[in-house]
Amino acid sequence: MQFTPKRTRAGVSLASGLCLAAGFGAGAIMAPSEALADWEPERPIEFVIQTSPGGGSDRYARMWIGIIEQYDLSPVPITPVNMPGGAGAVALTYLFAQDGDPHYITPTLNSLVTTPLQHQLPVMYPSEDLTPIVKMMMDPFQLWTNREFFETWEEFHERCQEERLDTLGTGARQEDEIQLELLWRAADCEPFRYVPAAGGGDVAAGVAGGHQHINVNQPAEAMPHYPETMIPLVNFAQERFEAFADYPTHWELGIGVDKEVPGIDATYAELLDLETGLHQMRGIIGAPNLSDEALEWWENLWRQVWETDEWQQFMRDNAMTPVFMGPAEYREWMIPFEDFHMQVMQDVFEWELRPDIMTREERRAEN
Amino acid sequence: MESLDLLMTGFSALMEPTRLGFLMFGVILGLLVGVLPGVGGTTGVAILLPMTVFLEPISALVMLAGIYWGAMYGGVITSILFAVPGNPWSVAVMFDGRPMAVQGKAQLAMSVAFTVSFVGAIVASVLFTFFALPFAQLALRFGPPEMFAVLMIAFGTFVGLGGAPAKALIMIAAGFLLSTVGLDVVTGQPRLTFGSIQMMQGFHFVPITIGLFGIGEVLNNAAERYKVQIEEMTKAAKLGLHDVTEALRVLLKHWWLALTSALLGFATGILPGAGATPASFMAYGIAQKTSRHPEKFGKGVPEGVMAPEAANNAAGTGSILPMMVLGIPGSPTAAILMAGVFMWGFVPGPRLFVEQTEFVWSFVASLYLANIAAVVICLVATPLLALMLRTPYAIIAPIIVVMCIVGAYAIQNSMLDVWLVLIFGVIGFILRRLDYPLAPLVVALVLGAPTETALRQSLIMSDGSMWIFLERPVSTPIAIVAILLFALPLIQIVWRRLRPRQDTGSADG
Repeated sequence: MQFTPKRTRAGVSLASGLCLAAGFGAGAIMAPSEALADWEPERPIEFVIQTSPGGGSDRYARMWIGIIEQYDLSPVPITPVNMPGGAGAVALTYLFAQDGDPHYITPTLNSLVTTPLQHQLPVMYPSEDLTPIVKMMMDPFQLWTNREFFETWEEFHERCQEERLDTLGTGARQEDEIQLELLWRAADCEPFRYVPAAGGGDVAAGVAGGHQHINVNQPAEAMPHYPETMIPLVNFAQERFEAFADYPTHWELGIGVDKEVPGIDATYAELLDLETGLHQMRGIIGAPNLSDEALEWWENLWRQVWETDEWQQFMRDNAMTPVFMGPAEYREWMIPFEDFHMQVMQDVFEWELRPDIMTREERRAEN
Repeated sequence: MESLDLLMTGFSALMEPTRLGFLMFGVILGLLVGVLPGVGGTTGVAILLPMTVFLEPISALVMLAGIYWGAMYGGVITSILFAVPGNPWSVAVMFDGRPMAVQGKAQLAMSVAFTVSFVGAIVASVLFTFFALPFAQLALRFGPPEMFAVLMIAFGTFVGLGGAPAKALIMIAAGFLLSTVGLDVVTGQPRLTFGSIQMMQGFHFVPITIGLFGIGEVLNNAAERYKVQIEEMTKAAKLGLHDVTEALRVLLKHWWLALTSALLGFATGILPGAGATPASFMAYGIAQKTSRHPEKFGKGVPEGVMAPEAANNAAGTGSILPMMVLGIPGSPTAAILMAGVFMWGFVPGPRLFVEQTEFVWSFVASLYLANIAAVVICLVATPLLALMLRTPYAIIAPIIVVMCIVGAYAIQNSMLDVWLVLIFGVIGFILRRLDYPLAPLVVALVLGAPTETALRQSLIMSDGSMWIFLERPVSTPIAIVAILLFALPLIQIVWRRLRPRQDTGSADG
């Protein structure tokens, strides 16, 4: 069982592009068979998790591992290895060092994109420096509030123009803060007072306890408090979510719809949106330069996980948007996602990025 | 009583053999992982989580809970026997547990620790059973300013704890300094990492503590050729129930201390982000402050074992409460359990209590059963555990070192942590020789990061005004107590000056 790591990205894209041409809809009908793959893992897989046990992506990783074991989808065990620290910096650096070895994968969350833009890691743009494997779903953002403060967006919007409101999110200069920074600019609010918190639990507790007015959160985190204590004021998506049908989208409310983001060819509404802008992406990314054969095996495995009743049910229960993307599609999707993060953080928020930051094109010219 | 009826529902749900089997399996597994330094209940629960995707929810829940309850007991063993803290919250129990072992009272120390752990857990379980909702609501009132005030109390209880004041101060400063390494929570920028990516993960306090105490102790014993301990410890391993009855006697004598420590632990445990470790330190500090013979603390008094153990088991129990009742995970273990609850198709929170009574109350019932099982197993095993001390030190020492290193690596799969163990082992040895107290460093290191975070979060909320701590209904009384605690030594000094004839020699104790 040998595989030769391919150094040319064109080769990878082309092959997986062909795979994709077979269609991901067709994949559902096609009987998945591991025997077709030209590559199989030879030793246990290291599933490198960027958070501590119990952190956001850790939960998904362990659930997927449970499904894989139950349906016996992998010939080798998949071992979770937690490498928290540095908001993903340690884990991504470790993954980067496993050049060409498909036995190392990591679940993605948005710090995959934000951390390498701010800290001088060997990875700068994960879509190029690592190998995207699959995207398993999109976890939407909602603007949540405690009902003792506001019942509707209009009430909130009135107050936010008069004074600085309090909010909190996971970590500093990460996805929650980006979404909130975009929001007050889009809605012409006074800048929010942002308190960085340690984890999703603290974020929910801050608003549920009445210490902060609002947060942006995924439905799963806020669900325990809904609708008694907390309600979503806005869903950041094109269409209302089934589970929260009474609450409007930011398109309906016209938040940032006609407002261009300076320096970027997009409106605030587009950047806030689930599909064209921000959401927590839950997927899988591997070490750099993986072979087509290995990618094919991985895509096949994850597609089977994605199709299980357990995963479908879990996504439904938690108001997640089901989406499956293979390696090439995921990579294509990630490129603009990275670019707009870079531009927004650097040009709109004027945050300090890594000292050697450069655009994708500058980087390519240099090599 | 409605709660009582519901609790009975829980017990009857657990009487099913498979569920009971899963619970007992969890407890035993928890005891085992708790013994390994660094590997606590959190790791044990996380490892088994994937297995539970397809289990029947109640079996899955009580198994994971059993691991957690069991691990609360396991940590104390290596702390007392070898000065290697098995869990972060077993550090405080070491301050007096280890000296007791050195004096040949290892069995007594462990028996006291196990029985008092049981008391702590049961007190917390009773509070959980009858007052879950009001306590959870109270916990929600605690934001960053309140947390800061609580942490200040924790520090206040440690003012003037052992050692020369100047040396203690140096150690506190060193602890704070070490706790600042890594990514700054508020700005997201790296601090004191010297450009190293590995250092961005910060200095975890467990490897440092394991190094300072565990490896430091091994080196120290090697230097002294282990001459003192070996004779006295051999006396320790007498089999029999004598130490259990003695432990019960100690417990009855200091029942008030056990009860207050348990209440304190429970109250601290339910606060999001606080948990068992600060609770154990606080209880130890308060026990010493209120004791009639504070100078004996640190030299092997049973009260020094009782207070932190009662507090940490109560806190561990309490920290699950906000997760169950409100859906807010207050500790890493609670977060994993909550992930499980979602995976099994439930939503934690108030509705769970109403809609899934069997699920919730079998969890509550598992508290009682698991703790009874754990204390019985532990007490029976105590003489066997103490026998380990009879093993020649030349054999035990390398095992301790290997366990320390493996445990440190397991926390976050990082070689940096292994180096920390070794480097701080040497530092711990030197500090011990120079009579620097290690406890203040560990307290500052453990509580430094959450204190800094709470302070800076509070100041963001108040646009920089320190008055925020005295302007909020919940934080104000706590902050005043904290200020008084800090002022207490000053008041005592002034008091002594005013009455010069009454000379107390306890200041250097």
